Amino acid sequence: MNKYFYTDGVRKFGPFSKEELRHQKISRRTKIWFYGMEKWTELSEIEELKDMHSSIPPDLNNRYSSSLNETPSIENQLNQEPPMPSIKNSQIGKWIIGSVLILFISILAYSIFQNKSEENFKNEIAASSYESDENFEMYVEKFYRDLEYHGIFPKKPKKKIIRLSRLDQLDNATHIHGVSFGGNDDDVIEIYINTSTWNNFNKPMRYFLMYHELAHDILNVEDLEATIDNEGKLMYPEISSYEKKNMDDFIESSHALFDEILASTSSN
Amino acid sequence: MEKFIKTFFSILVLSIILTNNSYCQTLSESDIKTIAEKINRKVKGVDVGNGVTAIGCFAFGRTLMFKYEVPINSQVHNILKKDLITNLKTSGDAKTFYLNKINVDFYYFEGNSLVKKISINSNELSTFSLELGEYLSIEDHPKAKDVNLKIKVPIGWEINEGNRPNIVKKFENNGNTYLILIKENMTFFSRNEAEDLLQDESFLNEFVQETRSFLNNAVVLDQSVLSLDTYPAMQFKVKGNIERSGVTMSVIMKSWVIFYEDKIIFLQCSGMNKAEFKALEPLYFLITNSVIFPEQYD
Repeated sequence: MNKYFYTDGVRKFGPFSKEELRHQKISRRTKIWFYGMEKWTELSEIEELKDMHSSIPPDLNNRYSSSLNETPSIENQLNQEPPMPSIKNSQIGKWIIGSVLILFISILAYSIFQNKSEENFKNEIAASSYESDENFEMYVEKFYRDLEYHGIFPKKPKKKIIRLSRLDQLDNATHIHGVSFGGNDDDVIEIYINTSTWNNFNKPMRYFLMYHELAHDILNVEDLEATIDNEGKLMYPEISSYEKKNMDDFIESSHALFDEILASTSSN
Repeated sequence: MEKFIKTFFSILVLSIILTNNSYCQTLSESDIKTIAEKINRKVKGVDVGNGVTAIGCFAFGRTLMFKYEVPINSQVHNILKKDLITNLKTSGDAKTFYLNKINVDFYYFEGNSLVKKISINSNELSTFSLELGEYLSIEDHPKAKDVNLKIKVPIGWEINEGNRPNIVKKFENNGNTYLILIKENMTFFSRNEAEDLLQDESFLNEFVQETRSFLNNAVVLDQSVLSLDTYPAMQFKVKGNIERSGVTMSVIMKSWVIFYEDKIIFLQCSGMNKAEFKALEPLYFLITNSVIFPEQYD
């Protein structure tokens, strides 16, 4: 009596008697070998196993075939084009797509909301701003002059809106001394300064504040973290604590920022 | 006696004016001797009143000696040195004597006997006040470019507005000028940065070179670095010629240059007469040294 072996394409199983083979997880296309055969041959092509062959349902020959077999046979995969991974139709894929979609929609909604509220915030600040006798243009001119002295030549927008605004009387703006809205627009400088801040700040603090906002607006420089290491720097966010600073402190901190920007520009 | 003194001075003034037409340099001993000879020719034997006769005028080194014959029992002992000095100042001769370092001795003889001698050193004849008055603030002055500065004004000097765009104020007295001039610098300089800049000798030389460029044949007499009310500064003195309406004049000028934030402040004094300028230098130094930048003390 022949002893049969079968393979899943990688491993070899057997030897099995014909009866034992019948109970293995095989299909019509499973490759079988027994002593005397030259090569591995599909079950359907072996004469003496014809009865077994007819008792095994044929393959559906589609991507669900594996699910019809209790276990997916590797030889099926060997003999078929490997199916393209498709998460679209899989349950997990659906979940992932669904989650990504929900996340995307949430971000979009948040972004729209954020833009909307920022737009509202800006409109509210702009509406509460007013013309004054303060010579803000002087700070702009000096800022550009100092940049040029340091070898930095940013665009000079013709449109400049620098006004006092009663920020401390607006919701969500009570803590703001100055705000710049021209950061992402090279064609406009738009800065609002809190009136009471301006009135309370001394000369060095006013220079700190104006150069800080102009750096946001013209150079697109972000605030530094409010850590002790950053105290004294121009982009430190808590300029109101600079009461003891003098003009030398302002001058050296602005030069440090310009040098840093120039160095980063040069390295790029 | 008062009449005698006045009469004497009228002759003396005439003599000095005739012999000394605005000295631009300190007179040499030889020059003084020549002057003495000229005066002597004019006053010798002149009755100056009250029986007093001028014997003559002589020079010894940098001293002019005036000798007089006075009558016996005259009131010559009542002549006081301070009166002579006052009269020399009133007549205007004191300034010439002071600037040219000429001492003056007066000898009074009764017969062959010297009965009184009064010696006046040239330093005692200074007509220049070195006293400063009240502080002047240039805060909010339209030409001050936001510089808040206070400086003392010398007593007796006029305070005038500058006639050029960068001249904020000027103090003037008899053709002598001290002015405050403020210019924009190319950027901000902290005190530390300005100090570093002033360590650079080539920068200093270039700066002085540029500043003196309006003078012809300019010569730098001295230059140094200092600080004025905690702000880094440099000082330099130059002499040279300027031309005005076809007339070339010799000028001496001293400048203190202060690096203040993004401004350059010039405190500048100048004069045509070297001796007079030198006499006023201590006053210029006092004015400059009085400068205060009040904002740093807020």
